[in-house]
Amino acid sequence: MTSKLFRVTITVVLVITAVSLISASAYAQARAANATANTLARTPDGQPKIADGVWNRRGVGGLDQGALEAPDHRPENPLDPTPANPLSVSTRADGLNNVDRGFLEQFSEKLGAGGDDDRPAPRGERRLMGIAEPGRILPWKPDANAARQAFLLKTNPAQGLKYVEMDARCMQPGLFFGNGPFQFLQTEGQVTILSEYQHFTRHIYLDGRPHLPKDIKMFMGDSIGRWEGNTLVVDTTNFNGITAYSREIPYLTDALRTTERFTLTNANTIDYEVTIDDPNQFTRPWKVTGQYTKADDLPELLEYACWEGSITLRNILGEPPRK
Amino acid sequence: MKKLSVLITGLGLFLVALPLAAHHAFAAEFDVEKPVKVTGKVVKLDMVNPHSWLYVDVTEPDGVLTHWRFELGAPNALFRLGWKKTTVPAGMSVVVTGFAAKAGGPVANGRSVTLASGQELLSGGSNPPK
Amino acid sequence: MKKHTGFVTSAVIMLCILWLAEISAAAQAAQRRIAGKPDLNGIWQVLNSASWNIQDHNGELGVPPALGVVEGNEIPYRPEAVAKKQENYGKRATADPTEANCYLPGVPRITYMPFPFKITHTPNNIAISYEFNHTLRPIPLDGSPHPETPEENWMGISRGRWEGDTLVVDVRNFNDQTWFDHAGNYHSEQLRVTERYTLMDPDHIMYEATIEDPKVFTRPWKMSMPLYRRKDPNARLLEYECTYYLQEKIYKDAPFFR
Repeated sequence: MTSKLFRVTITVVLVITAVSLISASAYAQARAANATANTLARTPDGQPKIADGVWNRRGVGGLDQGALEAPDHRPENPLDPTPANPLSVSTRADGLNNVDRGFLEQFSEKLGAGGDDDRPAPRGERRLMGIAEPGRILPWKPDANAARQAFLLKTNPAQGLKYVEMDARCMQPGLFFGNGPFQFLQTEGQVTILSEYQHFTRHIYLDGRPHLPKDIKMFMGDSIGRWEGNTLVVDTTNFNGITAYSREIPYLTDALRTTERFTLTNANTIDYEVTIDDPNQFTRPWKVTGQYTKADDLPELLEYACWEGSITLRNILGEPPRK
Repeated sequence: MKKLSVLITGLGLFLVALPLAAHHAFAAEFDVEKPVKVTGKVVKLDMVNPHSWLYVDVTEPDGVLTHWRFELGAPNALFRLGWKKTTVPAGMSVVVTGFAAKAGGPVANGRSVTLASGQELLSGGSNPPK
Repeated sequence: MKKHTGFVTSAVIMLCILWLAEISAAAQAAQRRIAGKPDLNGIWQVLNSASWNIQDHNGELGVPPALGVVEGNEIPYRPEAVAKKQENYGKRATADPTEANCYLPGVPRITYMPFPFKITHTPNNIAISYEFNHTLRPIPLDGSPHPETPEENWMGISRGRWEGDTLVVDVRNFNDQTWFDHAGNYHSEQLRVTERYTLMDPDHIMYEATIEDPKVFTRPWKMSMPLYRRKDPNARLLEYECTYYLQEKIYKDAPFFR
């Protein structure tokens, strides 16, 4: 090669290299800048953004009544009136159905004063909530149903520590008993749900990791999630077998596996559906529909100190002997 | 009659002393068919989770003193309804409405508390629909 | 070839400069930021013995020895307040609200409990979730005033703000029920804690907590310690359910009415 051609070649190579390096860097920065400009609907790592602020939940955790009230036990879902349970649905003078308030609460329409915190349910589309499938009678395995009835009979008065409701024991409630209020925080590869009730945190990992080993059992289980469009799908295992679905279903066993779908329908609403699969107690999975709504009147989560200074267990079980 | 009401009150106190399971189920513990309304003096407000308790001493027209207690909402629920630490000081005269406990006795699920000033505050607890 | 040496040398030098610039840019990108602030997300834990005793202490059975985390190693109790600390120390086996009773540890003790915690950091919110008894501290960054809750709080109420690259957390509205350590160091309901979290490098936060409580102490005083990022590839919070374990122990043979 001639000397001049050599110099020209080297110069061209250098220029191309320099330009590529500089433009690659500029491109990366421009992409980052673009991502920032588009965070109205997305987090930096591309998740649909769940609004900051505090959220309430309805529809989950069964009816607000005890299975012990009626000898034939109330059905889990009073949508269908039957001769066995004529009180389940009947019309009152004010047009509201004559059902337990706990069930009424699950319709997202204005109810008026009353409720766990005396605030009306949010107005909105009428969404049927509660146990959606299979419906009024859950697919119990007969032995498991007998066991839970026997268990419930020992809960009031409680015949031992294990018969005291987890709520009264200040335990983490699992996924169903207790309705927040909540906050959703999103960071790279994670959705973190904060709960004021019992001050717990749900860690939902989006990085496709495997579940924890089976021997690790937790109140809140182990949650692995992924986004499908605007729906966060969460698969949870590793439960410890002592968390309740509701007062009537006092425990879901450690075989429990849940699939939750959080669908962002608009900035203030998340339609929620969960499939509950506890093969130790039920012959097939069953589904519950609920809803999270933004609570614009709640600016923050406050402290919920439960065990601190609690005399509930002393009231229920008596004073433990001094050592 | 006085002996009977004292007896009933005594029974009520005895029942109150029994352990009560703490839970949110209104219908299992309180009776929507038995509304109550009492006027009395505040003894104290116990702000605890999951339910606060308001203790009120009620003197009947015949002079009998009854120690009532009302289940209210959780401390955070009260706070969000406007309750403050100084809202019901000991000795304040209050009117409390609610629904009596199925077990009987001077125990009820509180619905509203009207202060000496006339201001009415909601209890934040579980309630039946109006 | 010899007459091209100078040209080739300067070409090589230029390439090296460009390569170093690229490395440096990559390094800057590696120091991640959330809305312009150092990214504190991750699982962190202290490596010290402060939860047993925040001052210099020798070892005992079950208690590792350590030099203190208190600046100057002196806790400036008011003369009339010292006796209570001694009293607490004497009955610590049963009176420690956290170790004996599984109550919420308060701030800053929750930071130096020997358990990991997770900082979740988004543009508008910080939340710290602790493995110890699933303690949770939401830390709003919105600059709103602390609410006057009717009951004082075990963990206080927190408000966070950034001062440059340091997260400053102002914690107030405490009750007087928590201890600073198992040695019985305590405070009143007038406690106010100012925490400072400064990322020293991607894997270390320097944590400082300034204690103010004019009812118990003659002046403010400070603790500081590093927070270490948990680097285990499977690092995560599990559950340490202190309250559950304690109940199972105390009420094993319940009910006690007969």
